[in-house]
Amino acid sequence: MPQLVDPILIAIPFFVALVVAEMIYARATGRARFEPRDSAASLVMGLGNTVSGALLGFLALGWFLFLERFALFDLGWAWWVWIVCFVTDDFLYYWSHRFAHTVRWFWADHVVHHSSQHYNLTTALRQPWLSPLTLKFIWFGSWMVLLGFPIAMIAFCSALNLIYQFWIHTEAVKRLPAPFEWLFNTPSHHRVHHATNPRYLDKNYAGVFIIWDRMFGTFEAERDDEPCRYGIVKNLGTYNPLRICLHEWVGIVRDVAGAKSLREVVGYIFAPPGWSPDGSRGTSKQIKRRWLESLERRESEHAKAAAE
Amino acid sequence: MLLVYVLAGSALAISALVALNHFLGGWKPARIESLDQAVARLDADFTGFTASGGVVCADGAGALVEEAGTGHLALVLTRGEDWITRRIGPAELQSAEAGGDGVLIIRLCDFTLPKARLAFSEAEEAQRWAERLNAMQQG
Repeated sequence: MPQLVDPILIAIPFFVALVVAEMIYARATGRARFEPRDSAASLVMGLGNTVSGALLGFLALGWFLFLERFALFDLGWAWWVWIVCFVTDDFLYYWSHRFAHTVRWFWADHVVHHSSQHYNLTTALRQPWLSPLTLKFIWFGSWMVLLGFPIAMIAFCSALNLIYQFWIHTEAVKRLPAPFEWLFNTPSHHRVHHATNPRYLDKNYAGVFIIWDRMFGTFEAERDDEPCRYGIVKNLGTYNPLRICLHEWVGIVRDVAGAKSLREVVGYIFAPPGWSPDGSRGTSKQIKRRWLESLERRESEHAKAAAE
Repeated sequence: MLLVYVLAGSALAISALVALNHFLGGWKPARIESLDQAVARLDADFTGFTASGGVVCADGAGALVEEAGTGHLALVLTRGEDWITRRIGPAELQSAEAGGDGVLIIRLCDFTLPKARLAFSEAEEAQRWAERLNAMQQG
């Protein structure tokens, strides 16, 4: 087994340098937005994520070490295994990320990353603190270990995937050459993912390769006539990292405490974010439906006015 | 040991980056210029939101908007250079209290927005909205 370093540790100085460059670019051109309190919150969330990873990472590692003995194959360290590992990890990232947006249990963790109304490189570092406790690694991390990829190789490829995703959190890059935009996740595609415009909700889950979204029907291109509004459907009224970290979990606890049946308990925990028994809050699907109805209503009113 | 160095370095880097952001400037606090602007934002956040009236605070930092047909209210607040919006029905409201200085304090059952402060130009207006909110909660 080769000696592998943690690529994220190597990348940190580059992250810092790129944030500085983007801040200066934002000031000079006005084409990106930063605000100190928001930046501070995002960066502290990033640091907390590193700490929690060190403290809670043993949960995933212990599970994978346990699982390793049941692996179907021993794929080893050949060069082609690295490539297959990276692509497979990205494929599983797509599904893991999709479930992080459509199951409230996982969303309660992932929402942290979407909770800034800014979209800059510090937003990339705004990460949750409690991810291992959601046990998402069991559902989405086990497959590769069971296939026989070495655990260290999986960890390395996952880290590369996360490093790739850092630079796409920017408004400074508009569009890249078409072949690149077709194959890879780009700032343009990922801006759509972070937007709350009904048209853009729950789109572009990709990590590195945007082709997964194209294949599974979740791709949406950024439109010049519809600028992205960043954040979440119910934007936060705080910069407090603890509140940012816990707000959706608190929401789940409050909802479950007020639930009137087991069905409601299950719905509040595992249904899509925004689910409520009477439909009064609005999931992404409901928001999109209302938006389409409102669009059709406005168009028919315009048509009627034009005819008169 | 490596982790300690990483943490210490990260804390330093964070402080430096936030200081740089502050030093460079380039952002300005958001301001609600008109009721139409507040309603447009509510329509963007809550598709199909229809207003039947409302008020913008004297300092442009907040607005209260009546939602047509429901008897509920909606709150628009500025936060830094961004806006946040909330629909307020009886379940979301804890209490509303108007001070003699025209300041209306709204307490919400909201983990990330427990309290909203709206500054009106007249104490009577703050009082009127406080009564409207408390009546909604009781009714």
